[in-house]
Amino acid sequence: MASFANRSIISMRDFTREEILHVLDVTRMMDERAEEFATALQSEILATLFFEPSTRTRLSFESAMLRLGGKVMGFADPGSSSTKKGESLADSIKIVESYADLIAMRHPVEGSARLAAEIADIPVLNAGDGANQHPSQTFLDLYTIWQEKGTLESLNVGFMGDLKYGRTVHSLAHALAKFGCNLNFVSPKGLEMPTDILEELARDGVSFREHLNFEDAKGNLDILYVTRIQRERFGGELDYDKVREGYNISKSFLEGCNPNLRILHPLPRVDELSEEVDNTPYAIYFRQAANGIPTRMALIALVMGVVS
Amino acid sequence: MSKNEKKATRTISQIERGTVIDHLDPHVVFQVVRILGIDDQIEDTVTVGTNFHSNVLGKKGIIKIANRFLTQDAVDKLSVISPSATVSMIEDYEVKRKFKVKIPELIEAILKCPNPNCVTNTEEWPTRFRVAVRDPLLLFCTYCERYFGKHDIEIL
Repeated sequence: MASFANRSIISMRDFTREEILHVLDVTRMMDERAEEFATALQSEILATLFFEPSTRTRLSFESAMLRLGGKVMGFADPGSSSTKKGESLADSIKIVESYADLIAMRHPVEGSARLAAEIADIPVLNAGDGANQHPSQTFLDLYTIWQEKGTLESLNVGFMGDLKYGRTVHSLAHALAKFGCNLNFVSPKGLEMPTDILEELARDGVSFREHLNFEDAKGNLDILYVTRIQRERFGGELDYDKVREGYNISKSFLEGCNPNLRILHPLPRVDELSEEVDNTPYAIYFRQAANGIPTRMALIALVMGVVS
Repeated sequence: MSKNEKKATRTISQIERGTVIDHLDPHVVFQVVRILGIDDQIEDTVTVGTNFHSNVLGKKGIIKIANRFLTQDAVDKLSVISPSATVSMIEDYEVKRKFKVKIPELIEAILKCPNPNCVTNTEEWPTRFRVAVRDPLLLFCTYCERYFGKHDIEIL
């Protein structure tokens, strides 16, 4: 396995099964023994460059760095960066790498994180590049599933909601495919998984099925990953309301499910997931959100060489 | 090459020194002329022929350019546009070297990414594609991580 030290975390495609499992092991270590690492990065600085706002992801990266004893600086709003003055991303990265030891970057343009990593001599953590990748989210999703199921091997996983624009769904599907999971995609017409992703899964020999409604898929699911369906993706109110009905997970909706089904959601949710589900054993989405911290601590610790 | 094919090929004049591109897909001959930068300003002899009979391809195109040898970039571009093409380098009317073009594993800086939101279109930065499938050609942009067929892609 290649060393993680000084490596950038850009895309789930860059990681082998073995490397993914290693990240999960280190995440568990950060989860259970965080205090041992409380001064690990005392003289290091994380720059959080958020060219697109994402409060939760930014705070989560900052909290992870602070818990490792490090310092943070950055911007949360592109209006306050020199991009506004027309500076290229390449130039911004060259400048920032002389100020910090590590960069976490969110940018609306796809491939921007890869470009930043090629320019910078310090590690870059991709905190989302347009519709492309958001690997720290995928690692925390994988950690949550692994923690709950004790394995990632051969699980029956359902993805439900907006699968067309859902970046988290795309990279999680790719990652789970490496573990021989059976994938079930449930989405309204027009919001299906993009064809190029399905074709890629097919080329890789992944077992998957597409469904129009949850009833057809729910049988033996171990995991259900729900994403938000955004109103603006639909033409009129009527269409949206019609779709929303079939994609609202409530207690009654879950009758007949595998009792060991566990539901994840990248949050924030709107009404695709009723609050009445929160107190059932199915719901693990709040734990999933909390796992953002140990996951990002693990990624930072690995690329900074705190753990090998 | 059959006798008939040889005869057909010879209907365009031989060159003393330069490059012969043969076995071109007849649908892309003029595109190849364009990407090679051949225009009205060129001083040397250029012969362009298309729809010649070919035993292998049915029909084929040929381009002969005097006093010019292709750069690696040009050969790579040619391989993407017409993977069937062969290139012969001519000196003293003799073929000094002949090869079939081959699409490289990584295609750098010669194609434009069709995704307008790819960083290679928003920054001054060269593109890089990996060949995902050779036939039919499917390319993967290593920046925005999307797949594109040959017909989606523009040659720079």
